[in-house]
Amino acid sequence: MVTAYPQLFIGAAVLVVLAGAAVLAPAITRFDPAATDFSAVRQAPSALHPFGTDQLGRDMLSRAIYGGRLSLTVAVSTVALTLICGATLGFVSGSRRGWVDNLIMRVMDGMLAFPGLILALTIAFVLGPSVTTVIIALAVARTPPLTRLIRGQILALANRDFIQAAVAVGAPPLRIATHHYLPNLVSLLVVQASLSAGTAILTESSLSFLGLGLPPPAPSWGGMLREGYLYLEIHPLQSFIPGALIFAGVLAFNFIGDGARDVLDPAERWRRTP
Amino acid sequence: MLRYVVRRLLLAVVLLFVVSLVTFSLMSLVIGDPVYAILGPEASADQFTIERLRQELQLDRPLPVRYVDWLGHAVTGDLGRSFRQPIPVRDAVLARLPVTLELTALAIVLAIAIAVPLGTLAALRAGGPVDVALSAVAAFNLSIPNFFLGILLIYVFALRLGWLPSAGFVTATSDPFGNLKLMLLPSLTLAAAYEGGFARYVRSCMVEVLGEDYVRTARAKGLGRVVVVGRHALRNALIPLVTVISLEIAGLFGGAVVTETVFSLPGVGTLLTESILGRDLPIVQGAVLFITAAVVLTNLAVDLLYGFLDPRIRVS
Repeated sequence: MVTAYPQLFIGAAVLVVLAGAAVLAPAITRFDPAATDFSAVRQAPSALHPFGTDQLGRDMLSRAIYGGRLSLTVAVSTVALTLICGATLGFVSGSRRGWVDNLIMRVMDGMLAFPGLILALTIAFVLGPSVTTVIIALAVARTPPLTRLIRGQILALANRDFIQAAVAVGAPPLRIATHHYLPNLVSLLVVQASLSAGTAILTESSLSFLGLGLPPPAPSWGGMLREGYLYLEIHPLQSFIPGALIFAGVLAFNFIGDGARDVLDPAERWRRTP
Repeated sequence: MLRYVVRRLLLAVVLLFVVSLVTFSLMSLVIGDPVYAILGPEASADQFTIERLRQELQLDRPLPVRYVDWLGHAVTGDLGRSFRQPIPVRDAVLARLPVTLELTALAIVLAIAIAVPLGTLAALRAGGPVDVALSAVAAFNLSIPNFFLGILLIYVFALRLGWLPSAGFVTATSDPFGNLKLMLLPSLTLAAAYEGGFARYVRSCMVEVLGEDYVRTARAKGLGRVVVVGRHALRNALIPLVTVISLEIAGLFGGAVVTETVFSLPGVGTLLTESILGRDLPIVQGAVLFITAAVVLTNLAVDLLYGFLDPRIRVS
């Protein structure tokens, strides 16, 4: 399993480390991520501060870990919300057809013309800065592509015999959705969930980097990078640590997504690597 | 061809309409009294500004009326005035637009210039070292946040090696060479997220095309490898790349916002983030509308180009 799907294994290993650190945060670090110490600003890594300290003397390791807690929570919540919205809209659009389908898809087309980041920025601006806002903004930005994907899958499935049979025997729509469509969408949803989590971390940290995401003093990787960037010349570590963590988080979810696709859909794998 | 062009144009108009509707509805959702949301906590200090805002926003009129009114003005290029500076929104955005367009255009050109040779080489020796390297580069590029890549590039090339400037700006018209030197790191940064994907796509199209009969015929005629690949295979392998590029246009403009901020370029992206932080609603609205309109129009141009390059598309 490990050697057959190296991507999946590497992704899962990185995620376990990041998520483990986030869950066990208080046990790993005894520093408060927001506690300042002006006698120890911008320190190089030491036994006391393995990642060094920032411009206010805050412990970078505990900021990194608590930042990961926030980033992962936002990513998981965003994915849950995106899947619910995308699956519902995609299913309604694909199975009802007609004007409902047309209306939903034209609105999605319009939203797809917005760069995801700009849609998220705008929503964060409209609702004001908070964790909930960021989750809603990210989910709204990610819903249109997922809706389109699920609708396509529903349209492809609708003509298959087992769906036609279920319709012919008079199964109620909700039952057809949960018992006939859903099992056939699981692999698509698993892959998309993982890839969306990667996008969520990327977009959330972009928002925070721009100063429009999670409001300070909450430690977030993007926010840490925003502050660290000001001291790039004298204390580059303060930028490199949060940057590397965002990279690792996104890479983990992308690898898991790609790896899961290889496991769940072997045919696709052969097509991609002839 | 004419029917194809007309259909694309109509679609673009519908899309622009939806985009304006989404932008307007989003902005009208600003929670609470928009006047206070825009002005922030210091609002009570300045009664005059509050009255001016109320009149300007026409809050007493129903939403659909305001939308139609706003759209009517927007179509003629009148997007209102900034809350912070005494300038029309249109002028503020237009002044920043060239930098953003230059950045995205350079990034597309760079991404293609890197992706085509890389993808072709990888396809010629599938499973070889270039192919393996391509997979690694693509995975790296897709996962690294472009602001972090930008910061790393600045650290290495501007701060450590001192080869390139890290900030400051000159326009392309006043100092073309200085401008290009300045835009090199930003456009490399922005291109990074796309070159890997483009290259992978070129690779898979190329592998497919190399198996076609006409390529075998060309080989059987005794044509050299370079001619077969360069003249016969590459041309057909590149056509589908046009659609992939059009799918990435929106993301490219989004990435430009972040890239401009990292490199402090005076583009629409930095205007947007500054205006959001300064709660300058008309500018935010105008900048969002301009960027999405740019996405729709660029997509239209790419679609038309695609129809021109591939006759099969025009017919169906």
